[in-house]
Amino acid sequence: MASSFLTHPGEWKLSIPDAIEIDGVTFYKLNVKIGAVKWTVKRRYTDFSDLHKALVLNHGVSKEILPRKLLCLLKNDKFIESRRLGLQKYITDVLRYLSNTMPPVLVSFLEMDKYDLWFLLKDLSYRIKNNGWIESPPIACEISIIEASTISERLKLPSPPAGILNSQEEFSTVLEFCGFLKQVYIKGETNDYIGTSNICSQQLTFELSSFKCLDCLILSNIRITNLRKADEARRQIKYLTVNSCKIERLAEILLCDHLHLDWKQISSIQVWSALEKLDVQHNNIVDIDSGLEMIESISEMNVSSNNIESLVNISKLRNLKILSVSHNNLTSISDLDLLFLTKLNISNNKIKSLVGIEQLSSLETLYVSFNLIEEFEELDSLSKLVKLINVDLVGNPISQKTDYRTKVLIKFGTRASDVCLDNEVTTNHELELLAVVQAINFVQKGKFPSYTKNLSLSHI
Amino acid sequence: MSGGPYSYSYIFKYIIIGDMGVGKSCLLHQFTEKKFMADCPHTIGVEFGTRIIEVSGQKIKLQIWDTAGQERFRAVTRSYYRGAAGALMVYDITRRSTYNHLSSWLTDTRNLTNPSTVIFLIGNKCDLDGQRDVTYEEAKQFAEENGLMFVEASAKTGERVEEAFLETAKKIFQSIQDGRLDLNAAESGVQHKPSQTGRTTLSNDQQPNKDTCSC
Ligand SMILES: Nc1nc2c(ncn2[C@@H]2O[C@H](COP(=O)(O)OP(=O)(O)OP(=O)(O)O)[C@@H](O)[C@H]2O)c(=O)[nH]1
Ligand SMILES: [Mg+2]
Repeated sequence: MASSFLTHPGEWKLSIPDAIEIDGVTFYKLNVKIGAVKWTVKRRYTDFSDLHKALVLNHGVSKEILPRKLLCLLKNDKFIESRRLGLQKYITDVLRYLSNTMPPVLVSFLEMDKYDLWFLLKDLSYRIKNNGWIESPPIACEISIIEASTISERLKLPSPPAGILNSQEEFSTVLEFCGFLKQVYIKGETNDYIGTSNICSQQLTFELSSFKCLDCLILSNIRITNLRKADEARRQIKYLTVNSCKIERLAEILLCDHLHLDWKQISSIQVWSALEKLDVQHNNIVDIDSGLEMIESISEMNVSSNNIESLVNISKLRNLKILSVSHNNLTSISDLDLLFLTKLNISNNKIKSLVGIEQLSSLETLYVSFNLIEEFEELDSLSKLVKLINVDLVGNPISQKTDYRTKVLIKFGTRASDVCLDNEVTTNHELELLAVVQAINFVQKGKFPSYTKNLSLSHI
Repeated sequence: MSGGPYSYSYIFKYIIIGDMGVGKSCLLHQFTEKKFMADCPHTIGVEFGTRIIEVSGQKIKLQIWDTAGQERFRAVTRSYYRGAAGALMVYDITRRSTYNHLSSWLTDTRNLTNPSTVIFLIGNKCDLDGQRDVTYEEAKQFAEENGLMFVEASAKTGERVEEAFLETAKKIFQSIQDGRLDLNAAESGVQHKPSQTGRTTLSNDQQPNKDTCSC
């Protein structure tokens, strides 16, 4: 969690243990420690000098206390060492003197607006006010994980007496703003620590209860068990996206703040009753396991880029219209039985056959590119999908075979002209070819070409 | 819905106080969202809500801090009294102990707010009349003795919830008009937005502080 300068009075330490040279410029490594939280900022002498000018001008800091600028061409080790110690004393004296006023220049010099609860919120409220976001709130906003966790943390702390920070005012600005947001993107960290600090990003918990109008929530690189107070959100969120959160079971997301509950204890409270679209791409989901009863209302689901092997359970989502399971480990789709599904993406899997797909009688669009389909017989079921108009088979072994397009298109019988295969509409030339093939077939079978719906010419 | 980006000419700060479980969070929720939360978790620290109301043709934004009733959060709760224009003090009509504690809540309120703060007493859960443990009459008398406004309300049915929040605002607005409440006082809990198009007059903390030095 972020540091808390105001509730740890006197428990801070500034030190400059080191100076480093980057491209011939000397940087001083300034360590800031407040309570148990610490971070590092790199500052040049000129940064100190700029800070000093501002402090002398507006905050009564005495002009003499900054180590003198020396026109010394030979910046040897000894010189840097003595300047390091001088700057360390300087910055320590300054913070001690100004700790009750905390002017913004000093706060940002020490990067307290990045790592300290009070100044993070002050900065956030300043941005909100400056952008006029209270008068005309944006619909969507990206919030960093440390900001989200700081807001939650602040709710549990006493407001400090009026003084340095007009803290309660600032906080109400932030909360009011959060209360308006409809779309929130909470962005976690890919690193273990926040910035240069020792704040562990995986330990930052946050509550959803401050977002009162939430209908779209996007989470990425977040440990989902760190999410708290989601009950209200469950009733409101329509679009939920949880990407790159290392999820193994869908239930981890759906239960989130109730993960301790047994399945039998799940009640109506846990149901995501408004959810329409769930996107859980880029996780480690192996099974679409139990938990689907909590999202029965959804019409669109994207589980691409996971490790899913079977779709057995997905058929419980009776209202599903759009499903994407690309980049997984599917070998078959015969388990899939969804009456209303119109769009299915199962590209980049290990599927050899489309047997069973006839159960998806509303299907209009089917992406099966980059799978392992080798034989034309495996596509026979397509002939039963009377609404299918888009099929993509690119990157399957079958697409290398001679007369590939004709042999696929003929599965559609008279509908061949309506079908767009591999993103190309059926050409007149192809239609003529199809007619010839059908004529040959007529001769072979002794049947008159009927052009009926269920025309099956798979044996050609 | 909480508020919205409408124009308003005043901001009033409210706090809601009272023992744990009396229904403070439910009252806030009922007032801002017009819904009852049957399984409302205990408040940890504070919660916050806003709504824009109209009093005498003036749009007023209420900023409401709902505090935790649990004793262990008393320090947090106390830190929110400062600068409250209205205090809703809640007890549960089915639990006498919550009524008995009112005098201590009242003491805190008197000590930590300013004299112009409007205190409104709410006897909540009036839908549970069968389990009543505190009579209307005695609570009414307590309110009169202490100069408080009073209703019995129900966060569940919504009965008289609006009334409590709105009457408090009317009283505050009257105080402003009577000049009893000084808008310029730092802790009045009221902010005036002179022009409809102007930005909210919140803190002016971005101005550099001047201090004299000895270091
Ligand atoms: N029947 C009935 N139940 C209510 C009413 N208001 C609240 N409750 C119930 O009382 C319980 C406590 O309500 P809360 O709003 O959480 O109480 P609180 O005062 O905020 O409690 P703390 O946050 O712990 O201080 C919840 O289970 C509510 O469902 C009401 O008007 N009628
Ligand atoms: Mg509460």
